Amino acid sequence: MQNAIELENVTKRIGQEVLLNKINLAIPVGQIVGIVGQNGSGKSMLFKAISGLIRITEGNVRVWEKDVGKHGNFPEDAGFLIERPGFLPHMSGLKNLEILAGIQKKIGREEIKETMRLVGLDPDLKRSFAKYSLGMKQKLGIAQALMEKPRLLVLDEPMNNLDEESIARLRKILVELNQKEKVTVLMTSHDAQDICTLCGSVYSIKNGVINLM
Amino acid sequence: MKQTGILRSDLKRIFTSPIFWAVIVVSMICMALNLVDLKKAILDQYIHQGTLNLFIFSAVIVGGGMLSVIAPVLPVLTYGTCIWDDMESGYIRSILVRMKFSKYLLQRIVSISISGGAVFLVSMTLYWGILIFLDPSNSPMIEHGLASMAFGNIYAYSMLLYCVFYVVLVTIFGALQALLAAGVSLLAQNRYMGLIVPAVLYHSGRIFYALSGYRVSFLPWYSYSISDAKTTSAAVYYDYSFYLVLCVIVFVLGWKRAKRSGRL
Repeated sequence: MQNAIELENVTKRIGQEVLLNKINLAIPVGQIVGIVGQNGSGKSMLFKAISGLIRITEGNVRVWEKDVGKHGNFPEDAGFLIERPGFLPHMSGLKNLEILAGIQKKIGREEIKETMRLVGLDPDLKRSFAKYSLGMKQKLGIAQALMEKPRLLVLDEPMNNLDEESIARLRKILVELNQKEKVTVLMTSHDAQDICTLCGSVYSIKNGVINLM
Repeated sequence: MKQTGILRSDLKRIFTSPIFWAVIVVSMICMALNLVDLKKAILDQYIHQGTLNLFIFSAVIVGGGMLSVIAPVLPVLTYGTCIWDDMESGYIRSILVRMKFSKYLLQRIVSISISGGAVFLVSMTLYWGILIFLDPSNSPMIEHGLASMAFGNIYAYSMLLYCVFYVVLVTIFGALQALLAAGVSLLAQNRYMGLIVPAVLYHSGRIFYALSGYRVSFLPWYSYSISDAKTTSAAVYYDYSFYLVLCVIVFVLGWKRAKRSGRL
């Protein structure tokens, strides 16, 4: 089976500190995989390595069989939500997503609006991002990851700041995308229920070392 | 994969920004105030000075007045610290999973330069247009001593060319000032330092030149003649080259520090 993500001996050091320690990981296509770990265990750093945002010290990261992070390469056909979602504070949610969608020009305004409605946001809301609630900011971050209909979703704590209804809605979206569109999902969550109900396999990470649970 | 990047949306953001247009209005008001002062002083001598003379009086001569004080701040306000702002907000992560690092940096450098340069290009062009409306006459050259100052040869050849050349130089200065702000904000990891430090550096330079008696810089509104037009013009090239090198060094150091900061 083809792997969506492959990590080989991925190590990240900053000074003497080892943040990721020889991580080997393969995420098969069409699976939902969870990663659990305490704060500071290396989850976000791992996701940044997969997204190409940081340059790893050793090893290889491949997404859809293409090297990531070398020569500034970024993963194609992938949506990311890493740490807190950041947007232009004085612009509306729709405008923010339009600017991001304009980079690759894969989708138009209607698809963006559709994704915003899917996650429970009103695309016609004129309010600036700075005035969004924490939950709305998180939803916009999720919409940003979903909007270009990627085959791979990498979501760092996607349920953060969401209310019960929104969490249930997001779980449903992820399951449907996985089952109907064969979207591969790699996610972290503090909530054991998310991991148990959604994920086919679960890894734990501690001190930069990853193990299958 | 087809990528158009962020340049187009950047330009749209710059030219629709209220800050950008507010800065232009301030810049034009400063030039107009200079004109009022200068016209009072020379009114007895020249009643109709003509567009080009008025432009040179109010925008070039006597150090630019109030504009010379606030000019170093104006180009950085619209977009000078945008890379740091992207990092601080986390917005950069959403961009960099969609485009290459190198392309992001290049496009941001272009948009920052345009945002800084356009402040003076647009304000001076608009101001020039207003002067044409106020006094469209094509009066002869007035002896202000410019022929012995930087680029006096251009002035002697054509007042029109001299004005265009001056606007181009000031535009380049605006672009460099904005780039310096981008570098400083990354290096200091602070938006406000990015807004303030380039102006402080500029005015420190002015004071240094004034105290040392070596007043040959032609970074806008520095200009004084010390010997002859040729020497002073050469000094202008050196000053701009120095400024460019300073921008590159600060920007590279700033970018390296920002990448190490863990904000990506």
